[in-house]
Amino acid sequence: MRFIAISISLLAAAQAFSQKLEPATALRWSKPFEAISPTVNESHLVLLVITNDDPFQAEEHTPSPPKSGTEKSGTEKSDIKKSEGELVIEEPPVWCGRLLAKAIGKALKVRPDLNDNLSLQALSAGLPPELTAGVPSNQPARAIVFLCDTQYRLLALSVGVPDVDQLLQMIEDAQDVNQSLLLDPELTHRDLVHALADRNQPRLARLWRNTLHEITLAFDAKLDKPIRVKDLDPTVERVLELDAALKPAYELDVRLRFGLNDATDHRRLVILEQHPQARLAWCEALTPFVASFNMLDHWRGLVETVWGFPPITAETDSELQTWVTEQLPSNPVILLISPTQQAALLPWPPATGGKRNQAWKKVHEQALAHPYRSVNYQQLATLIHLRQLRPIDAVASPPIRYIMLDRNTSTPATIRENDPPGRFASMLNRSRLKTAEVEAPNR
Amino acid sequence: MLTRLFFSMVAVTTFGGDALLHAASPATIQLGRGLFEREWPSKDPRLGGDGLGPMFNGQSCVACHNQGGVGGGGASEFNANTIGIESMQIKGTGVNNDVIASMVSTFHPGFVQSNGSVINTFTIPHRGGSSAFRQLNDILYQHVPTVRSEFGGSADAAEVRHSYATPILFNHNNGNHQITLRARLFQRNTTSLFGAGAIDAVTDKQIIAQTKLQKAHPEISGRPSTLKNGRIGKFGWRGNVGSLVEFVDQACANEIGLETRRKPQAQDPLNRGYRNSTTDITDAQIEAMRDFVSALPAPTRRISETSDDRAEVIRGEQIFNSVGCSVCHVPNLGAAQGIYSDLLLHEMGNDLIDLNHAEPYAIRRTAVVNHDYTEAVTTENFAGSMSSGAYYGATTAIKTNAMSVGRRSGGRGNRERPSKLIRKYDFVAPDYPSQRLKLIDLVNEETGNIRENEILEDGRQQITETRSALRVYVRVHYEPTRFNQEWRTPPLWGVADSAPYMHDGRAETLLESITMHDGEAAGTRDRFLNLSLADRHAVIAFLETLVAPTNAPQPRT
Repeated sequence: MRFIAISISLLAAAQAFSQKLEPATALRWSKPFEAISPTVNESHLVLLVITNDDPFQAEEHTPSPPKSGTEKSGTEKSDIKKSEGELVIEEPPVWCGRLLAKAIGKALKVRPDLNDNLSLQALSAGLPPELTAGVPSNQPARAIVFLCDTQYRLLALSVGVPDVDQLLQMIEDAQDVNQSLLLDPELTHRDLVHALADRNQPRLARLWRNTLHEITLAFDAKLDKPIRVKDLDPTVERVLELDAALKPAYELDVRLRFGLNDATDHRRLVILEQHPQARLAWCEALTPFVASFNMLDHWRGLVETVWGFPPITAETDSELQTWVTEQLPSNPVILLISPTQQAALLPWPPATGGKRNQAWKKVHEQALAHPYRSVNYQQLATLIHLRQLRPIDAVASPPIRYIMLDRNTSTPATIRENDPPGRFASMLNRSRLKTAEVEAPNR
Repeated sequence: MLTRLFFSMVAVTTFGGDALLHAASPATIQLGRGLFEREWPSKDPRLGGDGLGPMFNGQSCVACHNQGGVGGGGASEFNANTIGIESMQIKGTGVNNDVIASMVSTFHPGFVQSNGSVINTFTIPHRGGSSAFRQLNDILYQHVPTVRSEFGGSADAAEVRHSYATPILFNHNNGNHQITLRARLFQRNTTSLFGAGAIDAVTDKQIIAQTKLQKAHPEISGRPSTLKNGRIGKFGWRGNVGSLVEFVDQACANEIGLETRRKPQAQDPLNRGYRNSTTDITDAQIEAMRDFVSALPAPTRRISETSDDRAEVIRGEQIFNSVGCSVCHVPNLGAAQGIYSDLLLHEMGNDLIDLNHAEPYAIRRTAVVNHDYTEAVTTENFAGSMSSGAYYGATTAIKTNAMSVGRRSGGRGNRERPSKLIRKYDFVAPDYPSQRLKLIDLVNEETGNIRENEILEDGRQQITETRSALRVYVRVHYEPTRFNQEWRTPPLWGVADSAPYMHDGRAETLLESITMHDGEAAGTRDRFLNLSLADRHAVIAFLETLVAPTNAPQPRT
């Protein structure tokens, strides 16, 4: 009897000891934009951090899924456990992972109600060396944090890495928007814009209050009929318009707040944008108009607006890969480069103008006679990466308009806006002759 | 001997006693606190003077000095305002000093002194003055694109930035004269007085030692604020004031309109005839206030809650030192342990100009006794002229000099022409001191006349009478520095509780204030910005532990 009692007490002690030493379950960072379980609470939030880390390098270093059940997606219930009262947040494989994990950990201490209601996602989307002539270009580091609902509708955003106080404010703001969307499924976009503008106005200095007021007036003036938020289908141009409207205020604001006076101070600005306070007012003025936007469609546009270059992920266009693989043995391949959002406002080839523009028009038509595809920077980067081609400099000005890939060389031939059209025409002619040789070698 | 004579002369016009941490009685400190918190009434019957005003910024010291307790700093809404003329042109014939005074008066009569001279800065008190004066101020403020608080300063840091960034342009025709000027609103934020007693106890020698230390530094070259009286300034954003008691004395006159024995209260330019019958505050009262301020506790360090946070703070302080912040923000200076300031002036770049400039840098003083009056005593005049010793900083005179025919000054400065020929008068506020050498009289006594009688060849008699005099003066040699953009390193103790930052409160956050560092500090700023984000956070975390004293007295009402 005594033996049994001792055994039980020893067992209890051992259990207590093992419970104490049991490693804490970490909140895992899941894949960006993965489907959120329909069983989660409707107030569930998704925190998505997008950084300018090299996407291909990040892909290589992404840890493999956990073998044990200790690391689980935050969308699953009761994933976050406490170890001696401490929450453990896994660090995402991005440059600001540690800082962000620390802020989230502290925020969850203040808001334990979010333990089961927050998913974490990280995405490396910087320019890879494949597009920057082989030179790493992810310095200064950049980061944008979005808070979305389970349908990936935007609720709040922060340019830079929020600390605990800033993150708590973001969460509060996101829940505020989410509540509005949930309470009234028939909510119109106008009502949402006005509600958020009214919320954010008092937080802003006069310059930004006036800017927000003007944009709201312009928004009202443009509105033909009430659109329900759930029917909203904004275009990429809408984000560009908003950015254009906010840009003068932002430029003046950072000039006065941070002593940034000319273009040479740009690097300093990028560094400062790691701190959310640099673009806080910009975010506050933008949020009323972009809240509820579907981030699956608009994350690239929003990120490009802030960074000034398109985000690139490790996502592969397998159809394009297959097509290139099929074409190259017999034909050089022409890639028509889709420009960035800003450059897209200018038509290519130029619609009007003198002889040079006319020449471009002709050469462009000539190019279309070859096997060609229109590709954006995202597709181009993965193509270069997977085919192990020589890196190109897509960032340098003037922009690249065409790329020619040849089976005999791993160096893509780039044709820029300021190149003579005749040079490209000659390349096309030579490639036509080569193709003819391949097709009829004995002729 | 002469040096001793010089300092004994100076002592007559200032408060006596050493500026050491002195033990005042609790009763005196209590009396001082009462005066510091007192809402001064106008027409105070106890002293017979006019009491508060006639022009003032606040009704009590604590009205502005209240962040973190009695004696703390103040928000931008309590900022003191000054309008400074950056450049000016008067067109028309016969421009002389009277014309200048009358034309500048059309912009605001506050630039014209009671003796008729014109200066290029004018402090606009928030309250008081005649209704006509207040009306003029309202008109002036219509040109300034800032939203002001009910207390008179800018509503917030953003408003400070806007008003600074936007010049006031003024044109006016009056008879056959036309004035065009460009001016700007400059502001000064209320400084925290916690630890002021320890600052007062820092010796000139200790400050000079800091200057010497920085001589070898490749980027930083602080210099002491050399005052006219030979002392080194320690108080005020530009170190224009030498001791705590003088600071209190000048604040009484400038901020509350309490005339002291040394400092007249601000005058309403539209009521020049008004005279206060006596002083509004006694020396004993000023000294009691000094004792109270001196007894205010120094700011302290907050201990972070978790070991992680404490480690981050320690790392932050190490980085603070390694990037070079501590070259100027010296942790300890004499009695001021934990001050994080060298109390020296540093050139901080073009974006931090204020026309109430720093005291010119006196690098050498030579005492001279002159019995022979024939020695040519000349001063080298480069641009305009300057005055010194003002509470917010020295100012520049706007005047013509009919004697210097057609002389063009070096660099930016006045173009001086004889008044009869002048068709156009230009003034540009100088970037550098106008004088390289100045003679300051200590003794100038006539001792008698020497009469010489000479018979000329044509038989006429010429009598030459020469006055014999004893003159004791000091030759002060100045080194030109960019005195509009020199600022005393603000002590960082208590910085977490004293936002907004910079001299005019234009920076809302520590990050903003760090990035606003330019001039000598540009290299340090860039090293800070080139740190990793985590390291920058650590530096800021360290600064956020520098808090106001926890035992500061709290306002009674």
